[in-house]
Amino acid sequence: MNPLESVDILIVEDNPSDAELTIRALKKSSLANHFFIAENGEEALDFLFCRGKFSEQDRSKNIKVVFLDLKLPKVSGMEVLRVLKAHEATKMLPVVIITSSKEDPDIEEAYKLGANSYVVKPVDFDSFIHTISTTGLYWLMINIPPKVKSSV
Amino acid sequence: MIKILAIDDNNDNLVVLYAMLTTSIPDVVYDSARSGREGVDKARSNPYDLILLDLVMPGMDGYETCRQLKEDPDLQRIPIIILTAEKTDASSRIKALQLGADSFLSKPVIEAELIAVVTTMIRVKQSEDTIRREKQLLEKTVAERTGSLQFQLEELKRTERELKNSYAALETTKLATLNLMEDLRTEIEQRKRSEETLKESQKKYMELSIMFRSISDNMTDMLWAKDLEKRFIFTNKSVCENLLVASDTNEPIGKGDMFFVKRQRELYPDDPSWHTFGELCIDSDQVVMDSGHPGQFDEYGNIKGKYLFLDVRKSPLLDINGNLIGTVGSAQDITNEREITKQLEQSERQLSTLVSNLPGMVYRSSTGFDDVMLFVSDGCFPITGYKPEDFKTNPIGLFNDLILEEYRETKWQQWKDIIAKGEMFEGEYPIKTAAGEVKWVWERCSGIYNDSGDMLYVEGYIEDISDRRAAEEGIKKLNDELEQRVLERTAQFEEANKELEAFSYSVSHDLRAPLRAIDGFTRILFEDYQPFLDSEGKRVCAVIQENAVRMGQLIDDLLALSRLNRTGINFTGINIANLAQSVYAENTNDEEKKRTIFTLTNVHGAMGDQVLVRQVLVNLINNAVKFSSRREVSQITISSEVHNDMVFYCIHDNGAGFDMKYADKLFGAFQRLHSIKEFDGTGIGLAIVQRIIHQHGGKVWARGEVDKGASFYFSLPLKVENKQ
Repeated sequence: MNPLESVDILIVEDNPSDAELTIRALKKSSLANHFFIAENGEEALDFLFCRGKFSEQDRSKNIKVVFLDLKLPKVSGMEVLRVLKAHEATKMLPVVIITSSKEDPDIEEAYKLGANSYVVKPVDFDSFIHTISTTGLYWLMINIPPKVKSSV
Repeated sequence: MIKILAIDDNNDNLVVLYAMLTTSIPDVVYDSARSGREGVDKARSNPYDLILLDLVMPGMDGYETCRQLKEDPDLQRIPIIILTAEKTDASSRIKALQLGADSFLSKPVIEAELIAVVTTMIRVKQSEDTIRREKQLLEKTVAERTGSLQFQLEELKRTERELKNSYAALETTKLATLNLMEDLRTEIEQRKRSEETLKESQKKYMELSIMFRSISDNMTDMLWAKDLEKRFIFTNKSVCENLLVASDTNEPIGKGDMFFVKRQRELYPDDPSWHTFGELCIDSDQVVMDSGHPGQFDEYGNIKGKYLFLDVRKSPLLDINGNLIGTVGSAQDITNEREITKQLEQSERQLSTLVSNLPGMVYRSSTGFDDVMLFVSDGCFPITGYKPEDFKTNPIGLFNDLILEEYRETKWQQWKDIIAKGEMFEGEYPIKTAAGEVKWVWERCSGIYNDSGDMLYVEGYIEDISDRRAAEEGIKKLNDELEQRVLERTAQFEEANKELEAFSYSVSHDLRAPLRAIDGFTRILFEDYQPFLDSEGKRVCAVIQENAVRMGQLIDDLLALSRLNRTGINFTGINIANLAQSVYAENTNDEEKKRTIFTLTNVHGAMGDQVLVRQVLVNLINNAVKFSSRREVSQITISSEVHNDMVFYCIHDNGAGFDMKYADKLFGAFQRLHSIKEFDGTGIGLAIVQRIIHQHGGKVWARGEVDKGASFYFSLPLKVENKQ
């Protein structure tokens, strides 16, 4: 794992297989250098707000985007999204929902809460690789993030 | 005696004056005062005839003393002679005269002058006094004369009053006399008038007699009067013609009934029915005379061979003193009415028989809700346990007993309100029979009106509906139970539906992840460990991947199917031809398009949900393309027809077709008629089509033959009324 100081993608994913596949997809696009995987919502929030086991960490993390799964143990993806978008320091941080759910209510709620993008994980591996790497490329290479410190 | 007062502060002067006066005037009484004040006081207490006054004195001087004396009304008539030595000038004399002094004497006083002045003054005073006294005397005399005259005037007035009274009495007497004369005159006039009135009455009596005769003879009713011997004293034309058969109205006078009866019978002695009138009737004249009261009698029998029924009224005839002198009678021919009544009774008896055959009871009551029951059919007994007579005697009471208390008030009120409005009452209510049994009855009643719209009575029909009620209640109970069961079942279904939704959400999310892992890691195996895999290993990897993807497709289709239950239908007009064209264009690749002839013929528009109908077309067109893919040229044709507000569509292809014996399995979920090897698919597509079409109120079916193509039919509404 890379040093925390240089993290620019926070991946919130509880399923280790999906996490591994995601990393593989990012690696294929040479984007695999700067990420951190939080295994549940609570860890993701702790990481972003430098709490709990991350309280000793340097606060100069320069995260460009959060890849957020919806179905998470402890704190759900929607709840993480709600907290991030409600907090002054994190409300401009781009959040991309990356989930298996194609359910309309989920999509609607995510956008209502301020999600910046909603991406469905395809079952088919080729499609999956393509989707994740395209999304990663877009948010890290093409998108211009806001000029604020994205962390607390 | 002359009383003189001298006022001077110098005693010598006083003595001189004394000497002068007493010597010259014989009966003088002299008095003196040494100051003005003393002089005034003395003058007030003594009647002096003259005052001699020195002008120059210490304290109150002569002027002041003079002024005071002359201001006093009792003293002002006393003459004052001023004696002065020093002030003899004109101004002081004028001043003294203005204050009321009567004369001046200069000092030293010359005796002769003093005496002359004093004497003159006294004479003047005495004559003044005399005049005053005489005037007083005269005034007294005048007053006495006036008193006497006043008295005489009073006397005169009294006399006048008495005279007036006497005159009034005289006037009254005169008036009384005049009245008496007037009365006499009036009486004479009245007598004259009475004589005229009598003449007038006699004339009127004659006229009345003529009028009475005319009226009597003009009547169809019979009129007569009889004396105590039952001999006619008056008959009208009708009784003579129709009853007595007399030649004129004078003929019966003095004769009895029997005279005419005999005469009639003797006309046809062989025909006993020629005249039978009165044979069976009582002697009603005697009855009325004995009782002294009016009476009504039915008298009947044949007159000139024809039946006659008379309604006879008789009354005692009294003279002006109240003594019975005979009878008067009248008779009305009611033969026809009797006949009609008889017929009516007969018809009512027939009606009653008819009514008694009805299952319920029929009634007729008076209109005023006033306890009068005019008719009740025998049908009341089986229903209520009461007899018709019971209703006639006490209808309201009985109805109150009959109708259950909690329904009674409302029923009566409704009944009254509706009948009063002229409408028909119809209602059901429970009653309690004579035996105490509770029954439900149905009643219908309404008012019966005459030609002028007045209500004559109320007629109604009451039927026992207990059995019907029981049956209805049974059905209602059953319905309630059924409804309850439906509610419970619906709740169960809703519960199940919710679980299903939760389930499909899980499926959508949780089942995909492992599939992705299977596919992904197989791929990783394939890519990262390629050198270690032989051809069989690689094939196995491909099989695993293929199945994972298929399962992903299955999950998606399954979700689409379950989602259909949750979404409502939003009806809009759809151009099906355009929609089919765009679906075909979007869902086929270039290679497929190249070998396919896609034709639309006569495709109508319809009402439906744009998104769902599109799904139907996608599934059906994809199927057509898929199953005709083995043909050199695929032929896909879409057509439609309109029948009874529905549009029927047909999508025909020249593909693999199917065996009609499996036609019923086509639309079941996961039902497939072909192997995956032959044609790819999950078996969900047609199930979705069926569900969508059914939700639109349409039908879907298919026809086909193996290797000869297939036709899929479905229908959609042409118009929608208030749906959704």
